[in-house]
Amino acid sequence: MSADTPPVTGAAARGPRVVVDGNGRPAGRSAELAGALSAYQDTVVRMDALDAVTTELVRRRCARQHDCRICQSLRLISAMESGLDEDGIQDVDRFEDADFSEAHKVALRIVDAFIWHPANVDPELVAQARSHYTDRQLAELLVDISKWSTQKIHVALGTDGTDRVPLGPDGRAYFTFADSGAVATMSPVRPGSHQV
Amino acid sequence: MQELRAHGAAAAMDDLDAAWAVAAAVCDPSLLPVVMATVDAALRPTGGVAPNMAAQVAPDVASIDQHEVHLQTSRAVVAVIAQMLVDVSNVDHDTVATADALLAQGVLADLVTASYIYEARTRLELMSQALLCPPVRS
Repeated sequence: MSADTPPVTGAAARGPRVVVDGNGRPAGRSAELAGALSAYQDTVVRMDALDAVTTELVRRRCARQHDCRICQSLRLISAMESGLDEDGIQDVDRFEDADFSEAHKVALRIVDAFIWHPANVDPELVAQARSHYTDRQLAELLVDISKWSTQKIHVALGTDGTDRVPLGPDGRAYFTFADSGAVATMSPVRPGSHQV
Repeated sequence: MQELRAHGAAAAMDDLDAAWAVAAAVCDPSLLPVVMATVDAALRPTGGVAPNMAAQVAPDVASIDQHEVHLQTSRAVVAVIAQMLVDVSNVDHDTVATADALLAQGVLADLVTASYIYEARTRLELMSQALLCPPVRS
């Protein structure tokens, strides 16, 4: 698969590949190790140099490139409140031709470089990155990508199923982060929408 | 990864280092180097040094049979990690199930987590060098 090709896999049929506990997580794993990685993720979420829309576009690109079912089903409410709509979310797959700002396209190119060829970053992309983002924003962008990419653990183990995600009729769940960086709320209904 | 620390990500790097320390404490010390070598070989520009299965000897192996079991386990873990590194969306069920069956419950999940942490550190190092270390800021 190349960076330009959305993943097309047997994800729908993917089941847990290891024994899971009552929460659908790998049974017998080290709680200390899982907790330490969660602490890293929470710290990254608390960083604030990037806006919510950039964060959500990056999160979506990671989810699609790694084919994480849970992550693909989620929508970050703060990004939607900042103007990102469902068409924009779907456009991430074909972002080069989409109506995104050049800065957002550069961010998504950086995601692809991080995932597919981190040892061989195009000098042109380096120039683009440095013309659109500050060093602080670039640092946050990189750790953001690594935070979302923790999904690889669950995709590899087949524990990325949406069984425990409160999906709405549209197949999505809408979530927020607490000040701590942990997920605060997850709802099958987008706030402000009217459920029929 | 001084570049990341210097530009607002020091707390995150501290946490990632702490997570790696936990991984090193939790995971089998004879398997973790194999995982690290697999990541280095896949991601480093020089290719790193691919893990040499024939040279892998567990510190407390007392018999040829145990050695064979260790080699078989190492190969199975490397197969999972290698697929995860290249294209996680195409990791196949049998590869993971085979490795899981050779290990105690939860051990593969911990090794996969450790591998991801090491992978993330490696990718962050490479990308931060590329994006945050150019000689002249335009």
